[in-house]
Amino acid sequence: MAEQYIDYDKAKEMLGNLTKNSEIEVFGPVKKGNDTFISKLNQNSELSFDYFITVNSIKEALLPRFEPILKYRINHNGVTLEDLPPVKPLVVFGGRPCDASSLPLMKKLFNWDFKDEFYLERLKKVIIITIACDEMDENCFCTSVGGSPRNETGSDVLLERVCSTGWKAKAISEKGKNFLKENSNFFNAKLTPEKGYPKIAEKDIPVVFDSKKIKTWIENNFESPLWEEFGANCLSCAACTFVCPTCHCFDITDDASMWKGVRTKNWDACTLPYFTKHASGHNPRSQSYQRYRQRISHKYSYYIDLFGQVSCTGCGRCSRVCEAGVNILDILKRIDKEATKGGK
Amino acid sequence: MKELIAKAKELLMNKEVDLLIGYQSAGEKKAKPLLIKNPDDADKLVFNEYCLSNLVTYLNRPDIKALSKVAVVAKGCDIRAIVVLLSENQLVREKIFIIGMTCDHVMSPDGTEENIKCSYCKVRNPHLADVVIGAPIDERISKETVVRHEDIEEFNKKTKEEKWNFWKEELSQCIRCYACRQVCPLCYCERCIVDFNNPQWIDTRSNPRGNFAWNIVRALHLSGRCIDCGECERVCPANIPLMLLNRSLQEEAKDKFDWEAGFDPEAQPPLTTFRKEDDEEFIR
Repeated sequence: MAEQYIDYDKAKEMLGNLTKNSEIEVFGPVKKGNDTFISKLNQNSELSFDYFITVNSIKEALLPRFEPILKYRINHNGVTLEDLPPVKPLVVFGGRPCDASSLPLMKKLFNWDFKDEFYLERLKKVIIITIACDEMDENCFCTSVGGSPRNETGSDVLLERVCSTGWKAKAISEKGKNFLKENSNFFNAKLTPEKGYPKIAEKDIPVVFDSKKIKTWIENNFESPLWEEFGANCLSCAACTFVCPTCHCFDITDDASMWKGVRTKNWDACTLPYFTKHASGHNPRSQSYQRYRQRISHKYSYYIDLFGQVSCTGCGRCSRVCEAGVNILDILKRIDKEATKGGK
Repeated sequence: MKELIAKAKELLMNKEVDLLIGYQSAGEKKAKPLLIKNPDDADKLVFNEYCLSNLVTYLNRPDIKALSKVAVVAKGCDIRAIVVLLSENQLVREKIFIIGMTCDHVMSPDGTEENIKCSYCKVRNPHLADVVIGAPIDERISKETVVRHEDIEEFNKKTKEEKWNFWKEELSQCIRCYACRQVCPLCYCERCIVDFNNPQWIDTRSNPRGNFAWNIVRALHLSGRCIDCGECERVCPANIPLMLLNRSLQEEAKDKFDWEAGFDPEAQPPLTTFRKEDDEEFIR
C-alpha cells in the first residue's frame, strides 16, 4: 500500500466522526490552560495537537478511574446480580511511545494470578494510535528503560511527524492495519515531508542509568539512609501514581443502599498515607519516604522478579507533575552512581 | 541570599534546630523545597520570585512534628498559615524557628507574570518571625483594605445553572489524587474524612457524586481558615480552579464575620468560637 498521511484537519474530522458513534469510546488530546490531557472525547471537545506530552497518560482509557465490577439488587426473592455495561471498542489517539509501551507491561499483571476481565477486554478492543515524539525535556528517559522516541511497542498505529501540521502513519499490528484501511479516507492527506522533521532522534535521549544495577542496589539497600533523602520532599499525594502509565493499584469499595448496591474498582496509590494502614492501627509504611521507596522498588525490582521487566517507561510524568520537586530521574541516576561506587 | 545561608548554617551548626526547610533551585525559573539537617547543605539555599511552595505544610508531617525544633523559610503569605496553625493549637511556637523573608511578589506557576495573589498581598514584610531577612518592602495596600476578587464577581454573574455546569465540568476532571489536601498547610487531620471507610462518609469514586462531595468538603473545611496561598490550585494535576471556591469562602468570612485568617495569632477564629451577643439565636 502507498504511504499514508494524515494532517491536523483530517485527524480532527476522523476523531469527530468516531465520537459521533455512541458504540465506541474515543480518547484524544484536549487542551486545558497551558497543558494537554488525554481525555474522553465528546462532541464539544476541543482537540489540540501541538503539545509536547500530555500531563496524564493513556492509562485512564483502559483502567478507568472508577469502574463498577458488580451490581446487585435485593428483593423478597433474594439477591439478583445485574448486568454491567458492556465494554465498548475504544480508540485512543495521541499518546506517546512511552504510553503505549506500558500496555504489554500491564497485560502481564492483569493476566497474572487473577485474570482481570475488565482490563483484558478493553485491551482486546482498543486501537492505540501513538504519535512518535518530536520533542523531549529534562525529565525524559525512555532510552534508559528500553524505549525510544519512535518505539512501536504497544501501538497499533504509529504516527510520525513529517511537517508542522501532519504525520505519516504506519500500521504496527493487524488491528492497526485494519483501522488504516477502514479509515483510509482520512489517511489520504497530501503532505510533503518538510526538512527538519523529526526533530529528535534516539541518540538525543542518552541512556543515563543501568536498570540492572539499580535492581541490585535496591535489593541490597532497603535500609539505606538515602531513601530518606530521596523521599524527603514527598507530601504523600497520588499525583505521580495517577499520571503514571504503569501504576495500576486499585481499591474496591461498596456503595450500597437497602435494596441495591454496586461494587467499584477505584484507583489507589502506594504513596497515599492510608494505603497500607492495617485494621490494627499499625502502618508498616507510616512515613512518606517509606512509601516512596515502595514506589521505586516496585517498578525497578519487584516487578522484574515477577514479570522480567522494569515497570517504568521513562515518560517522566511523575517528575513533571510533582510540585514538591521529587524527581525520579535524579533519584535513579543517584542510585546508579551509588551502585557503581559500591560495586553491588 | 548570603544572609539566609549564614543564618541557616548558624542554626544547624549550633544545633538550634534539627531540620531546616527552605528552597533550592530546580533549574531555570524554578525552585523546589529543600529539607536539610547538615549545615554544609545550606549553600544550596535560594530565595527568589520562583519560590512558590508554601513550606509551612511540611510542619504538619508526622516525622517532622516529632523533631524538637524546625526552622522554616517563609514569606508573609506562608506565615499566615503558621498563624492559623498556632491559633488552632497545631503548632508549638517554641518548636519552630521562622525565617521570615520580605517579598515583593512571586511569579505565577507558569513563570510568565506576577502571581495574582501578590496584587492584594498585605504582608510583604513578615508579620511573625524569629528573624526577618531582606530589605523592608513598601506594602501596596493597607491591612484595612477590603479585597474584592474580579474573577469571583464575574463568576457570580452566572446563573445557577451555568455555575452548576461549570463545576460539573471542572470537577469531572478531578482524579482524587488528594494533592490539594496533601499540599495544604491547613489540611492537617490525622485521618481525613475521605479516608474513613466504616462508614464511608465520602464517596471515594471519581464520579460526579464523589468528586462534588470531596471538593465541597475540602473547601468548606477551609472556610474562614484558608490563607490564600494558592497551593491547592497550583499542584492540581487536572488544573481545576480551586481558588475560585476558596476565595469565595474568604469573601464570605470577610462579609459575615469581618474576618481574614492568618494575620493575628491572638484573635479567635470565628468558626471555633462564639459570643453571647451573636446575632444568631441557635448559637446562644
